[in-house]
Amino acid sequence: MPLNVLRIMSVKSSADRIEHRAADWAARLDRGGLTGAEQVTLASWLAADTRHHGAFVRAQAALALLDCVREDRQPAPRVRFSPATSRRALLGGALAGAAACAVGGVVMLGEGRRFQTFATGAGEIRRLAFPGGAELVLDARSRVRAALAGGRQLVSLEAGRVSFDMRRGPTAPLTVEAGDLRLQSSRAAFSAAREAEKVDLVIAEGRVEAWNQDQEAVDHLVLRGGEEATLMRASLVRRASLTSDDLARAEAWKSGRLALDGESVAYAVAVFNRYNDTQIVITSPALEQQALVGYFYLNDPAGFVAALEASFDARARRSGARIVVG
Amino acid sequence: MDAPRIDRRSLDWISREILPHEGEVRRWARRAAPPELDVNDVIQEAYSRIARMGDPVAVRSGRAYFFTVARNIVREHFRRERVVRIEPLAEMDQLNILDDEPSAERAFAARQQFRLVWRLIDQLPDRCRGIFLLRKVEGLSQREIAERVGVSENVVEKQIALGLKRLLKLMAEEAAAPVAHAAERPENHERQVER
Repeated sequence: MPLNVLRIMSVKSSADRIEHRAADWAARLDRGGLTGAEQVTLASWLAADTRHHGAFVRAQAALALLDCVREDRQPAPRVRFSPATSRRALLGGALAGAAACAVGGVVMLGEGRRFQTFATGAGEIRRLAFPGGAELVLDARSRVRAALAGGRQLVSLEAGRVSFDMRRGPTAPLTVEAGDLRLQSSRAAFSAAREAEKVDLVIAEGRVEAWNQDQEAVDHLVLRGGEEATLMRASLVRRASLTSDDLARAEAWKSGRLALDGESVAYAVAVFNRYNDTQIVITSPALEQQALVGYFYLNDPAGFVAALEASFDARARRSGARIVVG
Repeated sequence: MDAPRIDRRSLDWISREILPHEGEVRRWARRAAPPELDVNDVIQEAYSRIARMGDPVAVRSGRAYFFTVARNIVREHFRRERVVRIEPLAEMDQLNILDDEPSAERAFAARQQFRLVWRLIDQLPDRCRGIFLLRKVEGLSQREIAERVGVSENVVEKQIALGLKRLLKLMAEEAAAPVAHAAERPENHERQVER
């Protein structure tokens, strides 16, 4: 028998006794359905000494710490079980689909019962505001889950792009999760775009910390206004400064537009096709290479194609859900 | 006196913002409190005061708050007992309590806690672990567990209590081992008082 078990058995101090009694009561409360007599007993035990009350609070908080239950029961991206635990044949597969809890300094997935999901379709831009003070703009074809818990604003970026603005006043701290990546900020304005394991960050103003929830000893990355960064699997792969023009273009999506300053037609078409059900197909390689300048409404592929026709002497025809341009 | 049940929101806040720092507060209290003052008493009293405060959302740093409350408890003990101590009092003033807790500290504390929790679960005896996982990972009620496993509700309740006692013990013992990471940080300059 391990030594610590022997120590538990030989309880002597009054603090230990209090701790044990508190645990018994916490388990009893966890079961529920206290009788009137039991409620009176508990109340008088609590009233007898503030240490009883404190121990009881501590025991309940410890039990709450273990809460890894998710309301929506989606399978978690990673299941945190050591080999010993995974051998629990006793539970006959009950462990499948279990959720991770308390990772990266914030309880994210474990708070399932309070998360709300926000998702947008093609061409849909959605504004969200949290009681905690952050204003979000959700890009088209994006999905986030969000909750306000324990005084923190928690957002899980599942797909697409979302911008955060916390400049308007004192707000609760914001923590964002995207795969293994964690972001934290209190007063910044920034956006995060996720495509599977790749996350692009654009910081307009303020300070954002980024880290990999799986790497404990590594220092947090600090990004500031005027910077952009690309992370793959929560590791930094690219970092650059932005001019204010760059920044304005990077934020054009918030007003539903695409800002181009010399990017190719091929690039622009790829972006349009991500946003729209109507797909654009360019058949001329020469046209694909042409450089474009201007602001285009993202939910208007036909308008964009009309601009191509006018600028490059191209011809477009509709073919079902496609516009073919050559 | 307060009702037995503290509201869920406060409990979650305590579990997330206060509990992870218990180890650090214990280590400090062990040095700062006189031998006749049981550190466990300080901790329990602190939890009681924290639970009785108003809106937890208004508190910005759980760690700083926990330290402040613990400090007050020790200080009150000195005043009550009229004990003249020189070093410990000075140490209390020197203690660098950051009101704006760096998120790295918080993240580290929570990661410690996370590992602690899973280490505990691994160490539980088979039946206790099984029941704990059904309760906390699968989210079954104690009654549902009793039905599924084929034991009485009393047995389930006892197993939950057993696991919880171990967790509480582990949390208190964790404080005995100094944390290497925290010692490296320049902000944590605390004078070591040999006892």
